[in-house]
Formats: sequence, C-alpha cells, structure tokens
Amino acid sequence: MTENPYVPNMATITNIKDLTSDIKSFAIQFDDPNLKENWTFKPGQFVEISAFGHGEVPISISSSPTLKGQIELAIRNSGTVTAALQKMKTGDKVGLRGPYGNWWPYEKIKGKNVTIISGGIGLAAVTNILKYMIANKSDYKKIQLLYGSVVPSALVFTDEYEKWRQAGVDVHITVDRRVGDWTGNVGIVTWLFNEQPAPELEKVKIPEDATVIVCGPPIMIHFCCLDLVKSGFKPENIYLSLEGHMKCGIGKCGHCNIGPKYVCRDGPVFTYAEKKALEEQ
Amino acid sequence: MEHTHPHAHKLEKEKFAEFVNALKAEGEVIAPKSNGLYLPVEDASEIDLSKIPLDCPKNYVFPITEKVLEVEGNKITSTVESKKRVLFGIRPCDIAAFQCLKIFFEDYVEEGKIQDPYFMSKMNKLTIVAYNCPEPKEHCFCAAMGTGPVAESGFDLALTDLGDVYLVEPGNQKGEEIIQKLSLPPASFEDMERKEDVKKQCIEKMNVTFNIQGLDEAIHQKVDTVAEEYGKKCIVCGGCNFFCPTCSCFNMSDTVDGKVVKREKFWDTCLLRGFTWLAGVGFERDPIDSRMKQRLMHKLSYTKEHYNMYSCTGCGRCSQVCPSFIFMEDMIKDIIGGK
Repeated sequence: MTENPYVPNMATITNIKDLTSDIKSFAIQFDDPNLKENWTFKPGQFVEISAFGHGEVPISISSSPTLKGQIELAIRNSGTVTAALQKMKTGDKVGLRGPYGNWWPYEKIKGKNVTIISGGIGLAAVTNILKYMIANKSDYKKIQLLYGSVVPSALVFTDEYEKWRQAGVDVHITVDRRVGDWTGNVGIVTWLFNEQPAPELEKVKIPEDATVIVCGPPIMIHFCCLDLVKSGFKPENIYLSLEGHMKCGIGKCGHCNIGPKYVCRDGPVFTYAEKKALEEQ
Repeated sequence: MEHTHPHAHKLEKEKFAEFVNALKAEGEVIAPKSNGLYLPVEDASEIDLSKIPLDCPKNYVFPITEKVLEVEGNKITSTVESKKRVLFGIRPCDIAAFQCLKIFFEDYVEEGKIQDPYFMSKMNKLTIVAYNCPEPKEHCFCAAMGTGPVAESGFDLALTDLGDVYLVEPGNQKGEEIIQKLSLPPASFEDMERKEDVKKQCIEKMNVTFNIQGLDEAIHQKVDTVAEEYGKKCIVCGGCNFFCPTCSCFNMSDTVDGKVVKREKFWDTCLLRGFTWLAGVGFERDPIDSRMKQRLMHKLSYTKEHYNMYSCTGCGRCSQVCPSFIFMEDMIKDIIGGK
C-alpha cells in the first residue's frame, strides 16, 4: 500500500456475478503485481473501494484470505457510489485501500463450535470466516450456518450452500415469505432456534457452548442477540459486525464514531457485550 | 508537550516590525488582521492583536477543503501540501486546540498508528508565536478549561503585552534560537511579575463562575437531559462545529473535470442530520438531541478518555456564533451542577 493512507491502489474488476436483482459480487485484483501477490487481510476486515468520480465506500471482503490473488466484494445498489459500481463491467478500474478494521475472532474460536447467524446481504460479511473455517476445517468443531432473507430471490450465494454442506457445514436456510415454488423453511431466521412456534420451519439446536457470529440488518442483529441471550448464550460469546458511515476507514473523519469508539477502527466486529456498553453511553 | 523553563526576553514595541520581519525567515507569516481573520501578512503594520479573532487558525493545518488526490486514466497522484508557516498572535485557547488536533491526527492509539499526512505535514512545519490574552471577550471561559489566558506550552515563542514592551518567552529550543538570532535583551523578574498581573487581570475580567471539577462523572449522568433541552433550540446550522478550533470531522467527495477526477476532503459537522446517513440503513443519530449529545460527549468526554484532553478549549466561538443562543458555557454549567 502507498504510504499515504488516503490514497487507494488501482485495481481491476475481473469478474462480476449477479447475486440478486440489486446485489452483485465483484472479483477484484490489484494492478500492482506485488500487491496482487502479497496483499492480505483477516476475515471480517473491510476495504474502501473507489468508483473514481463518484466516491468511496467501505465494503466487507466476502472472500476468504485463503483465496489468493483476488478479493470478492458483494455490493448492493443502495447509494451514489454503489450505483456507479453496479454499472461497471469486467476490466473496469476501481481503487482499493485497506484492509481496515478488526476481524472475526478466527483464532480465539479454534477448537470450538461456531454458529453463524445471518440475514440478507449480511451473509457477505461472514462468508469470509465461513470459508476460512472450511479451509481450515480441522481447527474447528461443529460449524453451523443459519441464514435467512425476506424472500427466496433475496438470498445471496445460493449456488454455494450445497458446497458448504458437502464441506461439513450444518446449513439451514429460511425465508420470511414463501414466493413461487419455494419448498424450504418459511419464517424469520431467529425462529430457527428460538421458542417461536413455527410449523413451516425446522428447529435447529445451536450447541450450548458455541461462539455465535451474527451479521445482518440492525433490526435482525438486535432481536437475534436478545433471543440468544434468552437461550443462555453469554453476550461475550456473541460477535457481531456493526455498520457505520466509514468514510476514511482510519479513525479520522469521525463519521462512524459511536460513543468513544470508531466502528472503522475499534470495530466493525464487536461482542454483543461491547455493543450493549456502547448503547448505554 | 515538554515545556523547557523559559528564559524570558523583552521586545521594545518600536522593534515589533523588525521582529515580525525576522520571523519571515521561518516561513509565511500568518497573523490576525483588523478584519478579524488570520491571513498572510507582508508587513507588521497589517497585524492587529487587539481583538480575539472569531476566525480560527485551524484552517492552516486542516483546510476547509483540501485536495486529497487526482486520478487521470489509471494514474493516481496525491500531493500533500507542506508549506512553512509562522502562525503569529495565536491565542492560548487555539494553541491548546492545535495540541488536541495534533494528538488526534498523529494518532493517540498505542498500536497500529495511522497518521494523517495532510495535517501532519503542515503541523510539523509550523512556527507558533503565541499571544497571551490581555483581555477576554464575551463567552471566553478558557480559565475554566485550563487552556488560558496564558499559554503554558505548545508554542515556539509567546508574547505578552506588558504595556511598554512585549515579554518574549521561548517554548522550546526553536524559540530560544529565534530569540538568540534577534539578540533581544533579557527580561527581569519584575517583568515576569507584570506578566502574572496581566494574567490575573484577564481572569478577573473573564469572571468565569464555574469550575469543571466533577465534569467527567457528571457528564454521563446529565448529558441526555442537557442535550435534550438545548437540542430543542438548535436550528442545526452547524456553525458551532465550523468555528470550533478542535473539530476534526471531515467528509470526502469526488468531482470530475474533463478526464481528471479530483478527490477532496472538507470539513463536516456531526450536528447535521446527514452526518451519520448510511445507505440502505438510515441514520445512526436522527433526533437532534442525539446529535447534540454527540457534540457534548466529543468535546467533554471522548477525547478526555482517549488522550486526556477535553476538546473544548473554552474559546467561546461556538457560543459567539450560535444564532439560537446555545452557549457551551451554559451547557457545561448545567452538566456540572446547576440543574
């Protein structure tokens, strides 16, 4: 990376995949061969991606650090910059700087049961750790994924669930509303494990000693954490990724300041215990 | 900031112009003019030290807008401006503000420091000549915040108006060298006592009726009610932030000029609703009282927690410019004890 932390490095979009009607996954490579080879990150970190002429946005890296030579970012068309990115084609140039922020506790949870609960595009911020754990399967005990979205067409990475199952992950998918010929679970993702009676949905047992990783829309995180605590999980063992308007990524611009913390630097990964402490500030 | 014990000298008032001219060797001289702005000066006659400027010299280390980079084709170029400047006649409150900004942009964390090169390049090239305040203005409460009316550190040279002469004190090695070059006559102990008198008189006139003892505890208990009460009056103009010498928040945006993309950073303010806007999610801080709380907590708690400095210096500018008469000193008083 350049010495000036605000200056991105040129990179090229090498592949684009539609995930949903408004979410695309971009595979991106650094132009600098040295960076392409050696740039690395930890699962859970994010980059600032530039669409030059439009601006810069923070995006979680959805690929695992075990994938070398390129990174993958899932981007939803939700603002000026992301709209510009969505119009881009393979071969187009973007700017990348990072990686920024802290990461999922991939080392601390070695030898443990790990359950990932995710909603919507939030899955793109946990596939990094999921794929990392799959690549280092012997380091972890049971790996579980509970994932839901509003409707079947809003599920992301649909072509990968079977691959993850084959790799030994206990995968459970649900949608809030049945649409079309959906035959799977119907119900909110938290219903998979909480006490809510839900006839159209399989109940899932999360191992009692599991470390839980939660990522999704703020409302989902909120209720998910409440339900987990109710089920006996300790707030210190629940990890989540917060969002913020992380303009600079390096704790200077002030936009993601919540309480005395900067999401870009002290986060984006916090334990539920830490999040609660921030809310009380 | 390490403060070497000063060896005070004297500057005859008729030699003021000579003094200012000599400082030009250290860089472009920026000083307060009679229009109340800190501007480059060619001649000492342009300098007006009589009023405390509403303008904040922060602009010279952290400009309102600053180019971050340019992109043309596949080439990204960044230029970091780092001109040598002498900031002349800087008031003690603003010197404290510079220290606060410096710790922030230089990075206060212990591990994985990331410095802001745009700020640091300018800050490191500064020569700061303080001007200790002989008079307060309305809303001044530096004495309560412990930043003035006399600067203790954070400058190269400090001037105090003793009536017939200026007392010139070095704040560091560089200041001592400048004094040596100018061969100023030494000041007497009596002159130092006169400086104390100037300070005493200024504090008396400032007449601050509160002290901030207990603020660190009280703020956590009172900030919600105070923010709610004053938030009702706020018209969300952001003026308090834009005039604040320690406000450091900024935003960045791109503009396109033909084939060249220019990215700039520019001041931003946490009081504006859009400050925490997150595409696809909404506002982290939507109601005005949550934004007023953020401002109060950042000024009076967070930086204290992070690096043991309040980022309110008591300069009073926010109170001076507020069209709704929301006065920082009133909010602090209410937090500490009043209600």
